[in-house]
Amino acid sequence: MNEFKVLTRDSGNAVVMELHGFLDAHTAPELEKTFSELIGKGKFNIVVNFSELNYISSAGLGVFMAYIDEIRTNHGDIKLANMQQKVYNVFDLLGFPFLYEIYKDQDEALRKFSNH
Amino acid sequence: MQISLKNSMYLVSAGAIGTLLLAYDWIRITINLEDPVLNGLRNLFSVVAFFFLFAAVVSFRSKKQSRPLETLRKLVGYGFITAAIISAWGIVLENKGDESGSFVPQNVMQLLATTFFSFGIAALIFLLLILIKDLIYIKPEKKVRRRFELFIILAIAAAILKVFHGPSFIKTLSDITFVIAIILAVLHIVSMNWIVFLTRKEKYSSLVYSFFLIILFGYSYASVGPVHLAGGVLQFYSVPMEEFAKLVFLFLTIYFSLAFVVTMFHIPTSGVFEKKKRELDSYQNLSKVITNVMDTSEVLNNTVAVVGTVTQANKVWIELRNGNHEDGNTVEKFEVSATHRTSQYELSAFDFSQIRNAVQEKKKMIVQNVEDFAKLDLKDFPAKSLLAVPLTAHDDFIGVLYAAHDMPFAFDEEEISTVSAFADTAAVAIQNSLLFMKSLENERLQHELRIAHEMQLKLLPTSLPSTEKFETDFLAFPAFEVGGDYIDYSVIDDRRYAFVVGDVSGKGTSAAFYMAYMKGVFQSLSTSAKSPSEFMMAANEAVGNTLQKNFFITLIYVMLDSQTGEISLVRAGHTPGVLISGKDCRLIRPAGVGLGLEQSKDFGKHLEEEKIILKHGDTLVFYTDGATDQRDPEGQEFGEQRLYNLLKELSSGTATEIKGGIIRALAEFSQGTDAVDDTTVLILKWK
Repeated sequence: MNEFKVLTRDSGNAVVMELHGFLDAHTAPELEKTFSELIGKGKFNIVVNFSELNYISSAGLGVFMAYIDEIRTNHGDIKLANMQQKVYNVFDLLGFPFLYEIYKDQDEALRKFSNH
Repeated sequence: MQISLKNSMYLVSAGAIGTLLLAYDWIRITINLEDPVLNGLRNLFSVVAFFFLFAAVVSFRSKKQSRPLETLRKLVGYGFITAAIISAWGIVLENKGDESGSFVPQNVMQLLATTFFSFGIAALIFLLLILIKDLIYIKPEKKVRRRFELFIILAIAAAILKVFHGPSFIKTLSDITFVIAIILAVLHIVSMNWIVFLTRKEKYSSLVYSFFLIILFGYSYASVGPVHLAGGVLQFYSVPMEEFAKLVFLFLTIYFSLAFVVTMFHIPTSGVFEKKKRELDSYQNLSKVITNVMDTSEVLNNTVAVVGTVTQANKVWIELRNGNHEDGNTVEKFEVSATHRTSQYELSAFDFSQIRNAVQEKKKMIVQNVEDFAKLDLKDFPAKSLLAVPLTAHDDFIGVLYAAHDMPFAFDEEEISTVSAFADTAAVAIQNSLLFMKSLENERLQHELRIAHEMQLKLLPTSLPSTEKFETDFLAFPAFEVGGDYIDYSVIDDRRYAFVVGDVSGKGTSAAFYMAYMKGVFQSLSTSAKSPSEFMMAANEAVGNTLQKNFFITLIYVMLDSQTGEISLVRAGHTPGVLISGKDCRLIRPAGVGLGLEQSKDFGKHLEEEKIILKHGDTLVFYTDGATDQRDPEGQEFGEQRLYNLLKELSSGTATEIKGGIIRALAEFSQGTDAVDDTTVLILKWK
C-alpha cells in the first residue's frame, strides 16, 4: 500500500543511502537487506538521506539499531541526514541524537567521512 | 389384522369351492355321471377356486426383493418339489390309468388325493410364476412387463378355451393362443437383464442352476402331458389347470434354456462389466469422500486407494505442492502425501521432477515402456508403465497423481481418462480439505490469541491508586488481541508511589512478550531503586540484555510523593508528559534514550531527571503514541496539538471525567477507523 524504496550510490569513501516513502514493519526488511548487502561488500561508511522519507515507525527505527554495532566495530558509522521535521521528532524523542550523528545536509555528513 | 383376515378369506373361498367340487366329484364317480355341460361348468368353477388360491399365494408371500441368484435358488427348490410331487403321483395312486393317459379316481381316497395334488401343484405353479416374475422384473423395460403380462393372460385364455373343446374352431383358437404364448416365452431372450448384472462367479452359479431348472421343468412339462398319469389326474380335476400347468412348465423350460445360453454368452464380457461396475462404485466412494471427509490425509488416502482399485495399478501415490516461506522467499516443494501399495521410502530414491514439470505443462503424462523410463532418469524404477495426471483445483496446480504398473502398456485409453476424471474430482476434494484444515488452524490460533489477550489483561492493573490528595485513572486499548503498551504502578513506601507508562517497539505477540518482561523488571526494581534515574538505568541494563537488537522500549517513570505533591520523572525515549496547570499546558520532556538503544554507561549520562511540585488542580497526563497516531477516515492523524487542546478543555474535570472525554474525542475523531497502534493514557490529578 505504502511504497518504500532504497537507492544507494557511492560517494567517495562512503555510500549514500536514499530512503523514499514509508518505513514501517512491512517495508523494514527491504532496508535490512540493503544494510546486509553493504556490510557484505565491506562498505561501512554510510550516510542515510531521509529527505524523501515521509514516515518512520518503531520497526523502521529498529533497523538502524540492528546494524550499528557491527558497522562501528568495523570502524564505520551510520550518519543520518536531511530529515523532515516530523521524522526528526521521532528520532529526537527516542534520544537518537545521543547515539547517531544527525546532519541537516548529507554533504556535511560525507565530509565527516572524508576527513577520516 | 385386516390384511391377514383378507388373506385367510382367499384361502377359505378356495377351500369352500374346492369342497363343493369334491362333493360333485364324489357324486360323479359314485354314479358315473359324465355330463359334458355339467363337467364344463365344474371346470369353470375350478378356475375360480384356483384364482382364489393364486390370490392367497400372492398375499402370503413375503414382499422382500431378493437378488437374482437367490431367486434362482428358490426356483430350483420349488422346481424340485414340483417335479418330486409329479413323479410321486403314480406311487400314491397305485394306478397307471388307461392307455390314453386319462384317469378317473376309483374311490374316495383317490379322489381326495387327486384334489390335494391338484391344489398342491397349482400352488407350486403360482409360486414359480411369482418367482420368475421377480427375475424378469429386474430392471425391466415397459415392453418386458407387457410381454410377461400378455403371456399370463394368453395362458389363462388358452386354459379356459380348453374347457370348450367341442367345436373345432375353438380348438384352433386354443392352439393359436398356445403357440403365441410359446413365442412370447422365446421373446424373453432379449430381456434377460438380470444376467448382465451378475458377477463372473455368479454367472457360473447361474449356469448350474439354469441347467437343473431345464431338467426339472422339462420333466414337469413332459409329465403333465395327457399321456402321463400326472397329466391325467390334472385333466380329471381341472382341464384348464392342466393346460395352464403345461404352458407354464413349457415357458419355464424355454426360459431357462435361453437363460443358460445367454449366461454362457455373457461370461466372456463379465470382466469388462465388473471393471465398469468397480469404477462406478469407486466414483461413488470418491464422491462420499468429497462430501463427508474434511481430513486431508483421509481424502488423500481414499483417493489413492480408489485409483488403485480401478486401475489395479501396482503403485499409486500423490505428490502435493507445498509452498513454504523461508527467508521471505517462497520455496516450492513437492511432497509425497499419500501412497498405495508403495511407500514414501521407496519413492524417495527416485526423482520425478521431469515428469512433474511435464505434467504441469502438458496436463498428463504416460510412460509405457522401458526406454521412456530410461529417458526420464527412472531406469531402475520398479514399474513398466507409469501414468501421471495433474491435480488441478480452480485453475490451481496443487499436485500430481501417479499410478504405476509392472506391465508395459498397462493403461488403456479408458483407464487414462478415468484416472484423469478421478484426479479432477479428487483435486477439488483435496483443496477443500486443505482450506478446511487451514481454517481450523486459524481458529485454533485465534483461540490462543484470545487466551493471550486475557492473560495480558491480567498483567495490567485493574485500577490505579488514589488518595484524598490525588486521584488517577487510565485507559489501555490494544489495537490487536495483544499489544506492546505497558501501564503499571507500585507503592514504594507509605507516601511514595511509582507510575509507569511504556511502549514496546513493534506490535502484536513479540511486543506482548517484552511488555510482560517489562512488568517483571518494573515490579522487581521500582521498590528497591533509590531514585527514578537509578530505576531507569537498572531497567536499561535488564532490558538491553534481553531485547533483540532491533527492539526497544520507551518508558516514562514517575515517582509521586503523595504528601507534598512532588514529582520526580525520568523519560526513556517516551512521548513527553503533559502538565496542565490552570491555563498553561507544558510538556515534560527530560532527555533520555529509549531502553535497549544504548547499552553502555552512556545511557545514564544522557538521562535527565525532572522534578515538579504539583499545585492544587494540576493535571498530569502520560500517553503512548497510539493516542496521537489515531487516524480519521480521511487518514488525518489526531496529532499532539489536538491532544493538548483537548486536555486543556478537560482539565477542570476529575481524572475519570478526563478519561471519558479522551475516549469520546478519539471515538468521534476516528469514526470507526481501526486503531493502528495500542493506545494507553494515564491521568494523574492533584486535588
